[in-house]
Amino acid sequence: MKSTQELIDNFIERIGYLIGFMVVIMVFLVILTLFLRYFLNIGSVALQESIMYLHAIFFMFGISFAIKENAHVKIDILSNKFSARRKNLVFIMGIIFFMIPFALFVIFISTDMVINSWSVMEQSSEAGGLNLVYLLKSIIPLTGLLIFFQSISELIKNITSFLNEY
Amino acid sequence: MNIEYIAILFVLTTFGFLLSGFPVAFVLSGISLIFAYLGIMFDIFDYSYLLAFPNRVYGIMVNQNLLAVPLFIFMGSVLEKTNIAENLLKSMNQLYKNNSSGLGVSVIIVGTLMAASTGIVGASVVTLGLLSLPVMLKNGYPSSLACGTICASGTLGQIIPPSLVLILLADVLSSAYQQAQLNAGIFSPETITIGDLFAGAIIPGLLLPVLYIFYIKSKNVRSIESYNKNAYSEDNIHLFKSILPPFILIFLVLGSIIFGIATPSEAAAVGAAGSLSIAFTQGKFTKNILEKTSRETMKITSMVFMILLGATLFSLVFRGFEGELLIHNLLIEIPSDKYMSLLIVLTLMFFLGFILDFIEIIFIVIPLFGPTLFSLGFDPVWIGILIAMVLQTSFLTPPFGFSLFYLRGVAPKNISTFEIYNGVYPFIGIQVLVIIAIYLFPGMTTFLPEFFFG
Repeated sequence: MKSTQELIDNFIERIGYLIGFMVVIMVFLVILTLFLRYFLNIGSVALQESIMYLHAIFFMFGISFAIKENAHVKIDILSNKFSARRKNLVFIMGIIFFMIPFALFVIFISTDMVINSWSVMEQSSEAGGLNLVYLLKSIIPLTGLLIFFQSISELIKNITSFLNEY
Repeated sequence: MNIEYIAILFVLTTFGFLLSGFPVAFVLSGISLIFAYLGIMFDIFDYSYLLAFPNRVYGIMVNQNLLAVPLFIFMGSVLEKTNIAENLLKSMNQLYKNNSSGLGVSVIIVGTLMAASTGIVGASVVTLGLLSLPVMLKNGYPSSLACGTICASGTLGQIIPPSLVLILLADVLSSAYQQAQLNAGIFSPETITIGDLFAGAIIPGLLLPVLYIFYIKSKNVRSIESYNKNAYSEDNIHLFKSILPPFILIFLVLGSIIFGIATPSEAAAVGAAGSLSIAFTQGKFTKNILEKTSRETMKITSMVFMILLGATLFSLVFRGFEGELLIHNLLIEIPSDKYMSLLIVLTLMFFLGFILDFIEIIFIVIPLFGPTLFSLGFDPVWIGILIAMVLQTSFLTPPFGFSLFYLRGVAPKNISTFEIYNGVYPFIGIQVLVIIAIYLFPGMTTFLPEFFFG
C-alpha cells in the first residue's frame, strides 16, 4: 500500500516539476510573439497555438499536482474545529464519492471526442496552425487519469492516518 | 413533483457539502455528477447535458484570455518570493519611522502598489501585517486603526488592475453578456474585454486609497518619539530605488493594455519578464527562485481552473434541472423593477463572499444570473465593477471576511479579534460610499473604457 502511494506521489511530483517550468517558456514565447509582431511584422499562428498547448498542459496536468500539494481551496469555517481523525474521514468519503467518480467521468465522457479526433487526425481550424488538435484533446482523458492516480494515493494516505490515530 | 424543486435541492446540497471542508472544486463536480446520475435513473435529467462537458473543457483549454491567468500569477509570485514588495515597505517604514501620520499614508500607498503588482490579497495583508503593524503600533497608532488600515489596503488587490478578479470576471461576464444578446435575437453580439474592465476599475481603484488617506489624516495620530530630520536624504535614495521597479512594472503592464499595444496576456508576459529582470538586477534570479515560483504558479493556476471545471459541470447540471427557470422567476417575476433584481444579485454575492472565495463566486454565480441580468439592459462594465467592489467589501466584513483571517494569523496575540473588527468598520463605510457613488454615477466606471476603446 505504502509503496503504491509513494510511487504515485513521486510520479506526480516528477510531472509537476517538469511541467512547472512551462510557465517560464510561456513567458518567453509570448514575448517572442510580441517582438516578432512589432519589429519584424511577422504573425505566427503556429507560435501562438504552441503557447496555447503549453498553457493547456500546464493547468490540466497541474490539477493532480495541486491535489498532492493540498492546494485546492476548501472552506474550513466548520472543519477548522474537526479533529484530525474526522478530517481524514471527510477526505476518505470525499475522495470515494466525489473525486474518483469525477476522474472516471472525465475519462469516460471525453473518450468519444478524442477517438473521433484521432480517427480524422484533426487539424487546426486556422491556416498555419498546429495540426495536432487530436493531441490537445487527448489532454482531457489524461488529466482524468492523473487525477484518478492521485486520488488513490490520497485515499491511502488518509486511510493510513485514520487507522493510526486510534 | 416540480423539477425546479430538485434544482433548489441540488444547490442547497452543494452548499451543505462545501462546508464539509473537502476541496470546493471536487464537491462541485462530485455532487453535480451524483444528482445528474440520479436524475437520469429517474428519467428527469437529459444525458446530453453531460455530453456537453468535454467540449466545454476544450473551450477553456483554447481560451486565449485565460492565458493571462498563469502569467499574472507568475509575475505576482516572482515579486513576492524575491521580496521586492517587502523591501519597498521596509524603506517606507524607515523613511516615516518618526512621522506618524506619514506612516499610515505610506502603508496605504504601498498596499496600493502591492495590490496592483501582485494582486494576491492574502500575500498583501500578511506582508503588510508582518512588516508594518509593529512599526505602526510603536508609533502610537491605536491597534484597531492600524489593523483596519492594513486589512483595507491589502484587500485593494481585488479591484485595482491588473487583478485576477477582473480577468476572470471579464471572461465570465462577456460570455453571459453574449448569451443574453443571442437570447434577444442579436446574432452579432457585442462583447466586453479584460481591457474594458481594467479601464473601468481605474477611477474606483484610485478613489478608494485616496479616501483611505483622507481618513488616516483626519485621525491625526501623534508621534510619541521626537522628529528626526537627519536620516532623510539617504533614505530617500533608498526609497526611490525600491519604489521605482514596481512602479515601472505596473505602468508597463497597464499602459500596454490600455493603449492597445498588447493583449492582456501579452501584457502579463511583459510583467512577468519585467519582474524576472528586477529579480535579476537584484541578484535574486536563481534556479531555486525559478523552481519555487513556477511550482507556486502551477498550484494556484490549476486550483483556479479546477474550480472553473467544477463550476462548469455544476452549471450544466443546474440547467438540466431547469434551474434557469428558477433564476428567471427570482430576477424577473418577483422584483418590481430591474434595479431590484440587481440588488438581489449583489446582496447574494455579498453573503456568498463570507463562505466562498471570489473565484467560486465568479464561476458559479455569474453564469447562472448573468444572462438574465443582462437581458434587463444593464451596462456590463458597470455591473462588473459593482460586483468586484461588493466582493471586496464582503472580504473585509466581520466576522467572516477573508482579509481579517489573514491578518489575525500574523497579528500579535494581545490584539483582540474585536479590535481588528472595530478597525475595519470605517473602511467598510468608505467602500459602501464608493459603491453607492458608482451605483448613482455609472459614468465613474464607463467613462474611461469609452475614452480609451471608443
